[in-house]
Amino acid sequence: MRSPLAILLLAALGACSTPAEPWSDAWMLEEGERYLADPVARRAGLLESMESRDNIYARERIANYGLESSGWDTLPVWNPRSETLTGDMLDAVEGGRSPSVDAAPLWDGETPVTMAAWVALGREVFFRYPLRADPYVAHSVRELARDESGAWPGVLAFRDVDGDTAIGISCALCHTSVEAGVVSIGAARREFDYGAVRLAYHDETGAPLSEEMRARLSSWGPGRADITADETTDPVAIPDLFGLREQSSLTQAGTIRHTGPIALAIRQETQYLHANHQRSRPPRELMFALSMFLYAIEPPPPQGMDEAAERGAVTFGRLCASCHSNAAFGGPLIEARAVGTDPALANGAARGTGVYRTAPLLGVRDAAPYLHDGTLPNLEALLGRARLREDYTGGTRGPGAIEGHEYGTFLSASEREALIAFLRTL
Amino acid sequence: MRLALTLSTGCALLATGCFMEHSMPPDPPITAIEVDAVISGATLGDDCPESGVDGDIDSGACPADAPCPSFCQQSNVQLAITTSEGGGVVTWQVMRVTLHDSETGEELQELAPRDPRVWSESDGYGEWDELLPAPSELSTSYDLQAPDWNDLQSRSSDFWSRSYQIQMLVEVGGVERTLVSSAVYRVSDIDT
Repeated sequence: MRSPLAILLLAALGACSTPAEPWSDAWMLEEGERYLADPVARRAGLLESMESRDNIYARERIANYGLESSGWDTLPVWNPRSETLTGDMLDAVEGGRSPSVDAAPLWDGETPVTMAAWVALGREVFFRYPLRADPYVAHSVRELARDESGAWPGVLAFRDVDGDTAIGISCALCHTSVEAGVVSIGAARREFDYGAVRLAYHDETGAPLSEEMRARLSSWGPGRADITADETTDPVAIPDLFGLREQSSLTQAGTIRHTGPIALAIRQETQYLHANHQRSRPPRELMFALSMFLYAIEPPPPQGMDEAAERGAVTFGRLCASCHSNAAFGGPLIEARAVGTDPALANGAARGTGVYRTAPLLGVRDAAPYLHDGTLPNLEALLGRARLREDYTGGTRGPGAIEGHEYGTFLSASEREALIAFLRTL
Repeated sequence: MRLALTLSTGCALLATGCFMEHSMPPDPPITAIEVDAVISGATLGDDCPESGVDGDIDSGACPADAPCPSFCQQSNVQLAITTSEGGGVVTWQVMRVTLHDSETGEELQELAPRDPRVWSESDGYGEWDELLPAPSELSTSYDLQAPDWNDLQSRSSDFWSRSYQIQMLVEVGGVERTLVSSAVYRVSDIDT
């Protein structure tokens, strides 16, 4: 028989809840409560998630985020009315009329209590929370792919913070692909040439554009944009969003330590308020919901392995897996000098850290062009030696050597073919 | 930086009813109104002409010598202003906005403010008469003249990563105070 003391002790132990396993749904919901309710946790989450405090991204956030009674915490909260753009709406715009935006505010104000409800709300944010008004996209929207309903995923009609109707973009514009009306969430929209869209706007409206800027926009090409905030032309590829939960760093330059969902929610919160020119901030509930949705994105299903792919898997394990080591085949930060590719993003003032994140490889078969700056057209080029020569002409940015990430370029032809066969199964 | 200012609601400070003393009960006892103001955020970008038809929707009408209204990134500053209980209203006026080097504090340029707006949860930003009811919690916004970027670029070799401060000289109920922003950077072309 147990003594009363033992019973009391057991009861006390039972009352102490077991800590939730990191990255379990229970743990993420607990983290969500901390993000929503605890300003100290938000400030601490920001500080511990900055890989470097020297780039503009970190300096601006450290100066303005999580200060409670000043800075961005004191901006008004914007719960927008927005709708995915349809053909009827665009007809109205092209007829010189404002499209009717009758939608209710994106969020009904009810805080979700289950993971499924958070993910569902996050999906709405992904498709419908305006990242910003974008007249370039509005001008060229008919050239973009439509979904099965005839709407343009990621293109919105919305009431902006001044009450005007605007056409803008959401996450979904760059981070969904659309083929024959079918929308693949999380896949970069690689055919989307934002530089060409902007050029078309200037050419067709007569809006002035400097020759320097014209040259820069012309150089981006499909699936790439220049985000380095400097005078040089160094566009980078739009990344896929697969396997986010597995990543220890966010952004290709590893700007953000992915310490947990609070880090991702802060990343989204500050991106939205910044892109909307610091005139409002999004409801934090929506940013946590978006984070849960991003974690829930399913990568493309793996392909079956044939004999060549099985040999390639061995080569991968021997040659690649020390870096591409996590469940999404991504991995740690690597010094940009060691990777050897164009260091402009890693060393840039905007978000540079001196390193690159080991790229996740889920869905890599469809992820061309390759390298962080999208300079190589296919896996054969990536793993071949020809691209390292000055007379190489296959690069997406014109003739010349494409240096760096030489891992795999010394393989024999049969080993290379096998490795590529394996990569195409991921 | 926070501005905290205590005002008295005497007649000289615009308490409602002060100028109607013949038909009103005697003035209530003087009470203190605390006005608390901070700069919430700011954008240093362009100075945009009035937008075209239908708000910011692509009008296709771009002036030859200025940014096109619909893709211009308007410079702005946002403020959070709180007034305590006290009754009446307090006047608010922006006297001067200046751009400073955030490291040295050196004044670089003056940025003229315009178009005061105030936030409402239902409609977003709307016109603002620059009066502060007491009590109230207001989120307000001004468009700013854009910095002269050519001038700033000529001053600094690290122009692209330079941080700035915005200082606002405001007159609240007849008393001048200065608000100072946190670090502000030139707005990026693409924000990801």
